[in-house]
Parts: sequence; structure tokens; C-alpha cells
Amino acid sequence: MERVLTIEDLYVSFDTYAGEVKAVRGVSLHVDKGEVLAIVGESGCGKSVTAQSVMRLNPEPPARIVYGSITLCGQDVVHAGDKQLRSIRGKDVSMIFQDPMTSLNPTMPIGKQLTEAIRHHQGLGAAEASQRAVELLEQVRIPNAAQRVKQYPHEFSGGMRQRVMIAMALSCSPQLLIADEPTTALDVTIQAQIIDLLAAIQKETQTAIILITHDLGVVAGMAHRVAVMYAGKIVETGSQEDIFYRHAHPYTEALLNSLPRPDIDRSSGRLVSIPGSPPDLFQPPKGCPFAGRCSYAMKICQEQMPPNFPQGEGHEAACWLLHKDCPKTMRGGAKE
Amino acid sequence: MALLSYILKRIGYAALTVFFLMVLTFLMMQLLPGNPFLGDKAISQVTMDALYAKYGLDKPLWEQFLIYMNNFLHGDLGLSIKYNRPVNTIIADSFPYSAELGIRALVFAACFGVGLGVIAAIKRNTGWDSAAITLAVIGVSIPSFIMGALLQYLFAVKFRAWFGFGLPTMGWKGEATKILPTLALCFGTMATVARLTRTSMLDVLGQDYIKTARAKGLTDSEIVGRHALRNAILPVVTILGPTAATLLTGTFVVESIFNIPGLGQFFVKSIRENDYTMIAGTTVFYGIFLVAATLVVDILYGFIDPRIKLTGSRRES
Repeated sequence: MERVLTIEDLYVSFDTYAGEVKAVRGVSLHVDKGEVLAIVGESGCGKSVTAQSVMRLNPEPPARIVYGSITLCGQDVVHAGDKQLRSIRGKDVSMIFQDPMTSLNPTMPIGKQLTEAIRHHQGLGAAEASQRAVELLEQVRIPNAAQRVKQYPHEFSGGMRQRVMIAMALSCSPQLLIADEPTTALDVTIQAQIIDLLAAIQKETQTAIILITHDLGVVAGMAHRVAVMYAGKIVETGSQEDIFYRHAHPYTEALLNSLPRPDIDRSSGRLVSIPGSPPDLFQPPKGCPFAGRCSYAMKICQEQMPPNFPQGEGHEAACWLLHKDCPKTMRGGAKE
Repeated sequence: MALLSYILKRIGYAALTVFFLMVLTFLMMQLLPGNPFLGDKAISQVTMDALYAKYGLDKPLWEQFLIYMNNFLHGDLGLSIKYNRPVNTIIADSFPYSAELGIRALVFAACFGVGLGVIAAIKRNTGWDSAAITLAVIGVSIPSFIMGALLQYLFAVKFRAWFGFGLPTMGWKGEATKILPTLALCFGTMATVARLTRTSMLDVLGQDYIKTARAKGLTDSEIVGRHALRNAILPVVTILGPTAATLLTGTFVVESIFNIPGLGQFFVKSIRENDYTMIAGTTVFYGIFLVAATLVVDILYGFIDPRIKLTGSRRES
């Protein structure tokens, strides 16, 4: 398996007036060719910061990579200069953003925005570029592509704009595509279409994808592997089946339990949620960051950071409950 | 087609605006104390009556207004009471000076203002930014009569003392005489434009589509030139319209300081001298300029931002 991206022990901080926000605290992950890795977790857990670090797209300053390495297609991203970064961005790795309504330049025709990256990286002429723009729109199933390329973003609907963003991201056939909550700003029927489109294109082109989301339905739809993030750390990582059926971390369990389900909890009439709120990343706790909200928290959880405990092939979780000396308890939740 | 009907409609509104401007000017002139013929020497009542009759001021106000409107529609702004020359001729003689000075100042202010604003925004919180902002604050807070005098002192008096040559401080003949008045006139506008551009640019640079552009691997100058500037320029264009009208029709202060025979002096003098036709003439001239500049700005919007569709009818929008 060809490795597209390796992140090792990445620490990213934001220097603010109030102090240093430790947004990403020791994340390690990897993505292989043709693989879809989902990063899930609640808002502010560091998913986007991690992903944007791959392109060094976090504004620096205030963002700062404190420690760790990022290797994208054999290139060191952390120590890359401006010129090298520009040659990576858009060509080796590209990104789809959350809100298609604001991610396109309102004063530039779609076609021109679509081909900007190809013209920049491959030096395509204007005529070839406009031909390519039509092909790209057809690739993301936009009808009347030849007329559409001349139009401006405000003449497109939200779903169509997200298709344009996808086409734009794919224009240089990148090795890695980062989709940062690509469906969050869309309504439900359009969400399904966009996910289907992404999955279909992924199969056609064998592009590796990092899918950032807090929608576990989207994860089930297309991810091969899943990394669950909490307070700047990956707390559990494994295959899609591992996460959905053999999850080992209480946070993963709590996330899954808070999915609205038709078959349970009809009596209370309320959606299940995780009590409490995530820790303050100005001063992250020295123990497990989830300890304060965890139903199984023990004394050690408050004091010491749990290491990763392997749970099988490619499946590991950072939780003291998995330590061999920990007394096994009957885990609560929906299944028992 | 939609644009044409929009423009026609706007011209209709413009005509209405100018009409009301004339009515108001006409009425307010009557409130001015004194009359045009009061001077150092006392004038007998007989002479006064004869003068009133000569300039038609003995007629009722509504009749005066109708006569004035009739002349105006025939392109005649009347005879200046003070100078005993047609207002048309006075404007035709002096406006070219004011217009040239105004255009120079406007172009200079727009180019350097936008440039400074962009630099300040890109190099935010650095020495460049502070320098540009300091310059802008100075420009906004120093009135043009002080700026004019300062420039004269520095570039004419001091330069002559230091280097043996200096820039001329008077008149409007040859390029050298035009430098200082242009600088004095443009400085305030340039500062305003710079501040506005900086604010607007900072807003645009924080937009998602700038991140999209960065994610494509574009260079900073490509991002600013292709994506940011066009989106950031709209508020600047908005203020440049009325500013253009003000600068082009002449400014009393700068023209007085540099002794330029422009139109600016007549705005002020005519009121002091109760020169009714001159007051109305200069006011209408300025009014038409202002309305036209606003219309040009609104049409420019449509070209800068494709989301703004200019149509003649209310329903389409």
C-alpha cells in the first residue's frame, strides 16, 4: 500500500492575547492511496486544524506547529518554504471547505476559478483551460456545463456550488483530498447527493480522502478508517467496523449513543447527549481530557494521560479501562 | 437593455433632484441679509430701484424663478450681478483649471490611497501598516490650508535654502506649479481612501474564498490581485464618486493658497457678495456634477460586482 500522508506526533498551538491555545496535542495518523480516513469529533476538537496543517493553511501566526512531522507524498511539509508549499497546495493536496456559499469568489466566473489551479500548476493556456473547466463540471455531474462555466457563484445553488468546489479540488488530480465538513452547510437531501458524488469520484480516481465530519452517518457511508478526536488528541482509531461495532473508548461510545435512533429512548422523548463540555485548551488537563465527562472515570484518569492500547489490527484506543490491570466492568449503553 | 432603462430612469430622478436643488437654493438666497448692490458707497433709492429693475429683482419671486428656469433650460445661467459677465462664461473660464487640478488630485489620491491601504492590510501589524495608518491619520486630521502652507514652506522655502532650488508656490502654468496644489488637495482624500481600503481589504482577506485561493497554491500577489482587490474596492468606489464632484468643481482653500484661477473662489465669494445668479449657477453646476458622479458610481457597481443587477423596474430585482 502506497502511503500518501503520514502525520507523527503533531502539536499545533495558536498564540492569542490570552495565551497559548494547544489545539492539536500529539496527533499521529496516516492515509494510504485510495483510502478514505474520517476524522470525527465535536466542534473545537482540532479536526480542522490537523487537516489544515497538512496544507499549512492555518494562518501563521497565530497558528504554529510546535512539534511533530507531516510527510505528504515524501515531502516534509513542516519545514517546507513558501515556494514548496505553493507547489504542494492544489497539486498534491487540495481541500473542500464547509460552506460553499462563501468559499467561491463572488466576482469571478466559475470557469475561471475552476481552472486557476491547473493554469497555475500546469501552465495551461486559456483555450485549453476553458475546455478543461467544462470537463470538470461534467465530472461532478453539473448539467449544461458549457453554459455554466461562464456564470458567477450567485447563479448556483448551495449543492451546485459544493460540486464546483469538488471539481476545483480535483482539477489537478491531487494525491490527497481533504473534505472539511463538506456537507454540514447543506440540507439533508443535498448532503446525500454530495456524499454519493464524493464516494463515486473516489472510486473512479482512487484519490485518498480525509473526511472531516461530525456526522457519523457520513462516516458510515464512505469511510474505510476512522479517527475519533477529542480535545486535540486522537482517542480511538480503527476501521469503520471497529469504530461502529467494537469501539473501545467511552467517548466513541458516547458519540454513537448520542446519534438519534428510531428504536430506542422513545420513552424519554429526548435526544441523548454527552453531559458537560470539552476542556479548556488554554490549560488542558494533565490526565485524560475526557475524564471529566466520562461515566467510567477512575482516579488515574484525572492524573495521567492514557497511552494507546492496541485493540487488534489497526485498532487502538487511549483509555485506562483497556489497561490489562484494570478490573473489567460491565459497560453500560445501548447494547446491554 | 435593462441597463439602458436603468440609466434613463436614473437620469429622470437626477433631473428631479436638480430641480429641487434649484428651488431650495432660490428660496434660501432670499434669506440672505443685504442685497448685491450694497457696497462701500451709499446708493440712492432711485439708483437702487433702477438696479433692481435692470436685473429683474423687482418682479415677484415666482416670476423671477420662472424666468430663471426658462433661461436655465436654454442653457443660460444668467448674468453675474457682481462681475457683470455671464455666469456661463465665468464657469467656462475657471472650471478647466479646477477640473485639471481635481483630476490630478483624484487620480493621485485613488492610486496611492488604494496602494497604501492594500499594503497596510497585507502587512497588518507591521511597521508598514503603522506607517500607512499614521500617514492616513495625519492626512485626515490636517486641513488642506495647513497642508498647503506646510508644503509651500517645505518644498519652496526650505528646499531653496537647502538645495538652491524649490517648487513654485503660485499659479497654474507648467508642470512644476501643479505639483504642490495637487499634493495639498489630494492628501485628505488619499488618507480616507487608504483607511477605507485597509478596512475593506482586511475584511475580504478573512473571507473563505481567499482561503480557497490559498489552497490552490496561488502566490500572495495573485491572491490579492485576482481575488481580493476587486471585492475590496467597492466601498472605495462609493466614496470616490461624491469626492470626484467636490474635487473637480474646485476648492476655495487650495485654489486661494496657490493662487489658481479656478472655480472654487466663486462658491464662497458669491454668497458673501449676494451675487444671486452666481450662487444659483455654481450650486446647480456642482449639483449636476454630484448627481452625475453618483450615477456613474452606481453603474460601475454593476461592472465590479456581478451580483448587483441594475434594472429599470422595481419588480425585477
